[in-house]
Amino acid sequence: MNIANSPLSRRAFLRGTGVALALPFLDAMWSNRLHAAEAAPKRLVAVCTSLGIYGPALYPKETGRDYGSTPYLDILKDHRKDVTVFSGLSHPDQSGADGHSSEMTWLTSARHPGLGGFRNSISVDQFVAEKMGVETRYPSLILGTNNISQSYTRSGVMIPAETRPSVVFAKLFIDGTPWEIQQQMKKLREGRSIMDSVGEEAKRFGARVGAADRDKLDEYFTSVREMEQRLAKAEDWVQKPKPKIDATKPEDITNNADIVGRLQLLFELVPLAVQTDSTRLITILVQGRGDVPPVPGVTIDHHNLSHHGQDPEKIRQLELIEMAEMGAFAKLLTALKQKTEGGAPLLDNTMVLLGSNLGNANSHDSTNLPILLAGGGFQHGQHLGFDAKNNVPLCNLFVQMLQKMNVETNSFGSSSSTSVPGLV
Amino acid sequence: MFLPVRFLLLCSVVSAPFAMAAAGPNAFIDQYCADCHDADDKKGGLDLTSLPWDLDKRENFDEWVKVVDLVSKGEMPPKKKERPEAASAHAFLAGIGNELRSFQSQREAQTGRTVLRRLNRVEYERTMQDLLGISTPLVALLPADGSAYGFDTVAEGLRLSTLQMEKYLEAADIALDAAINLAPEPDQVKGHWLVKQEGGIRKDLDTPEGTLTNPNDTKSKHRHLILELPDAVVFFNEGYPACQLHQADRHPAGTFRIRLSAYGYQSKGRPVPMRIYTDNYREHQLLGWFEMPPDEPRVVEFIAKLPANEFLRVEPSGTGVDDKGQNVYNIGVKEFTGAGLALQWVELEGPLLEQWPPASMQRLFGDIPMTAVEDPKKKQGKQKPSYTLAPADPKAAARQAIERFATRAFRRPLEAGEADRFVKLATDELDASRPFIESMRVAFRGILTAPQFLLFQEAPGKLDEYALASRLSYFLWSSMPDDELFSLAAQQKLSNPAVLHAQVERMLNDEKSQNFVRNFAGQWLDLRNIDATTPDKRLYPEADELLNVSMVRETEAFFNELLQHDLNVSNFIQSDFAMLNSRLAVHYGIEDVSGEEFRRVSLPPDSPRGGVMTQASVLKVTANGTTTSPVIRGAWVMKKLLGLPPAPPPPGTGTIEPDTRGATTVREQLAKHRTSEKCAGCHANIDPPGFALESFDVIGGFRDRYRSQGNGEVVTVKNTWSRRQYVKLGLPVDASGELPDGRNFSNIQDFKKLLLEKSDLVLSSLTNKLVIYSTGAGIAYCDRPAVDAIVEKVKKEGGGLRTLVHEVVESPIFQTK
Repeated sequence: MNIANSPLSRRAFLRGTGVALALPFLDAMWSNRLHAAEAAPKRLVAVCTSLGIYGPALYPKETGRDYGSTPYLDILKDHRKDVTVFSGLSHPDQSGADGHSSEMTWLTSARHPGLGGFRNSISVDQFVAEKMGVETRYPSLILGTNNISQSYTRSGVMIPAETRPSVVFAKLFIDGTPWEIQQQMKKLREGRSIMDSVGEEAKRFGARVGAADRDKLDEYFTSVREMEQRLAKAEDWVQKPKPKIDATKPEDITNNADIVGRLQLLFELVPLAVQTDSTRLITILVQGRGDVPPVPGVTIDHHNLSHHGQDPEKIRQLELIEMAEMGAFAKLLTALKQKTEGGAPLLDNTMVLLGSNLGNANSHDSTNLPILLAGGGFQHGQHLGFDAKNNVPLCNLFVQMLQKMNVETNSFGSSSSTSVPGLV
Repeated sequence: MFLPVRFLLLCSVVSAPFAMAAAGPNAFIDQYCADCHDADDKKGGLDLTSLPWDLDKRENFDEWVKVVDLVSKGEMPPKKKERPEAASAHAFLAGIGNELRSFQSQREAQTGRTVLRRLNRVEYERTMQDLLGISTPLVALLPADGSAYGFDTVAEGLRLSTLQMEKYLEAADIALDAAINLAPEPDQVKGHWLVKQEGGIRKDLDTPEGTLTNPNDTKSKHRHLILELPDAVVFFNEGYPACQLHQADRHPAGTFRIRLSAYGYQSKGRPVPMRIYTDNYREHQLLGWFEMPPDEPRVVEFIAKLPANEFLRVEPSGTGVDDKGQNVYNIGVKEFTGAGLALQWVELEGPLLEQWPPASMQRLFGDIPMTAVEDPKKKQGKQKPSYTLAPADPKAAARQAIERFATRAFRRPLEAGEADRFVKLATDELDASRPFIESMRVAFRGILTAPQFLLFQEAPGKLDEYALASRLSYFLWSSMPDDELFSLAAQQKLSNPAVLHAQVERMLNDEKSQNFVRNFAGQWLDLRNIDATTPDKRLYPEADELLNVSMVRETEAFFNELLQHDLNVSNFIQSDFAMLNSRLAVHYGIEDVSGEEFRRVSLPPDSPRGGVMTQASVLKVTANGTTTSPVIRGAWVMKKLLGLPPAPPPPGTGTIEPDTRGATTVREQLAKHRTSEKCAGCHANIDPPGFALESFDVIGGFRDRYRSQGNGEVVTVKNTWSRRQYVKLGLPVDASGELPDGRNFSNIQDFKKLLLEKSDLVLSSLTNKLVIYSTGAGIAYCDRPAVDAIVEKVKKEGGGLRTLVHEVVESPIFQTK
């Protein structure tokens, strides 16, 4: 007999949830903040599509403010004044174990991903989370269309992405019952006692191991100690009620191949999470797959299309998928502009980075990355183009964004400067 | 030329700076290397004249290893340049080689070859299940592990972070929830139900044809799509309408015995495959499949774990149309002449319990007596009692149970006072008046997140008996040692060679060795990637669930066959047999194999099958769902079978923009690929195996023509169960190629004959991988002689896989940290 684990049954596509919000609560919250002379908090949303963005359909020939139209930028035309398009940015030394390893380092810039002895470094969102994460219920929200994310801890461990919008929604907005909360408190308290004990055990263990092993043991010890701190913070939050919003819990898409549908649902969560200040750091990895996404007109699998080999039919189908992704991005920007806080659109204080770790998926090239930045209070509306043979480090943009978030730092990863020329 | 490199004949001190020795290595470099590898030319980015001798730094050590390797293989200096005489090359290599080896082995002697490592998540799950006596799945709760050198058992890839600790706490909770069960014994379900009495089916059959299911809709006429026979109900379609057995869907979660009787109907003497799922409308899981014989009922019986209150769903495979291509939708069930599955009855019995309360209670609480509690509110004797654990002296009982549990969890006897901290976790709770079990849970969770549980404990030098027992059981079972291994360790007998040998035999004969097969082969051959892509439905309509499931099983069964019968590892390149079930036999076009069980089948001498490269699973993981790539497959063969991974493109080469317009076959595309001199060097080695494997499509079917999405000749798919599946065939396949030494091959059979000359490489590659997998560390430069020694021994003893496993275990490298 043959027993097997069968994939989940495919389901019908999601009907748009059309989330409607009424937020008297939030306005009241904001007026309190303004009275306390606090500025609105700054947020960072980073979205990566791992199979590149087809350059000829994205980049206009011209740089500066008067750039011409292209199929992808036309989709964003309502947001032209709110978006900056960059060409000529990348992380140095990204050749790695295979053509897609740079997926691991888009937010970290660690060199030679996946090659022997590789250790990833902290991603830019976790860098901020370490400093400011405690101010919100969730230091960061790590999402993806698969369980792979772009967010890495300080010790280079990938934090799994949540793929189910229903779970995220429940986490952010659905309170436990009083009994559930009581149980949670108990568990948190227990957890702290346990971490305290095993931390002591680690010291004792350390006395028995050799010097080379002590580094590894240190990892254990640090993890335990940080967990203790996390649990203490969580104990504070668990007793606070979650924000109320007038929205229904979204229904997950079980069709693994439907990355556009999935990314749309995840995008819909972004304004909700941001305006309730549930978190200020969101990363989304839209991971390209080896099957055919259900986009009308597309018959060939996505990965195959990204290796178009200049075949016009493949390019055409690739563009159909990417235009759908652009459409979802446009809707996200619209939502962030429509919602306001203290009279200004959310987008003003929310930086949204959209791009890819591949500049040219056809040749697995990770230079000249497609990067778009929206919001955050920058003066947008330009195409900033840099030298294609001698790229500007993408981390220079990251540092500029970090400083915009009031994070005190002059460098991150492979940065060589604290800003990108032309962006103010 | 100025050479700042300094060498010293090594003394006993490892880290002393080196002074210039006699001519030796510097002169060699000056004469044979400096022309290209100096500060001016720096070919390949390497300046040997100024490469420091700083072995403490890993990159530097690896750089020197690379120098030694390339010179000893004769790849450097290149053919065009002045080559050294054998004697001087030998002296150079011996000199540097010895220095490298001594440096490293001294290091290893001090700190051990391996670094502290933790259980990976597969090992964690198996250990928790064995330790607590539960069967709850836990792998999905933990973050994915990194891998190094190809395996997730290697310390370098296994990191620890807050995320991990969070998940360990959660997982321990869930495991304890499953293990601690004092509820009344679940009621047994035992029944025999006729399919034709199934409510939904009865209604379907009893409603006359033509009745309007929706009175307002004249088009909603009821149709009979299933056929009632005196002794059965026949289902003709895969999928709707499927047989859903709700008569048997009220049951707790647990292990059940399921029996089912059915036969093939109108199947013209051929068996009809039957799939059985457990289903709750939202999710379903395949429990198994069986071949049901034509006309004569067969009773199938199996044991399965079922979630609570799910129904069984049964469907045929390979049915649906008759010879004219019609379905029961087109003509009525009475006129339909195609095959179907006649289902008779189903029996369900369970949950199957060995004891109640479950054994997991004893694993945790030892001898603490459990007393039955009659609920005074319920009628006497009618209800089963629940249980309670209320020892007279809770603190003493806590200490006893915790010490006992920790000893097993830590996989060795406790040191004096080692349990105290965990006991305090429990007694603190007891002092706060919490119930006994709640208090014990805190202690158990502590033990299950403690370093002694999560980490392997190995001290430099020869492994002690308990460390050896652990390394052995995680190697062959992916789990903790059992009682027999612990007992031998306690008696200090396990390291005795005869005892060790006998234990390896016992462990390989145990069912648990399938964990080794699954986890090792799954990573070595990339089987874990089987679902990374989905075959295009139009190009490969025959790719069904049962093929997917069978593919992986085939390769695992093949590995296991070599393991159980100690067959020579050259069988991985080419074998005269394959492990097949009927689904795969049909797929491969091999006749006279019926039944769902895997069995060994002798292959005809001219068969393209045999070996591991031509197995569907391997062919699928080296392709995407639409096309094959000779480069990917060729690189797989080099890396996985020969242990000669192709080098990545040199830095600074830039990328090539593939332009496939105008090229029609993949061979032409690659010809454009290889016109660049820089690339041809590697691709002369990589491409040939890939070309030979072009005879196989993305799901491992044999092809002499490519399937086409555009133009092509329409044919029916022959190598499958289902009838009348159509594909278009396009250009012919050319599976010929040329080896770097100039010899040609015209097909996969020829290629494999040529590759068999390299069987030695398979043996040494596999030996390396088994040492890496079982010890959790890579093969360092100074480890190579130890690995070579194992290879030599195995060769003398016939080159079998089982022998190889034995020799690995018996080698010093396995028995030392």
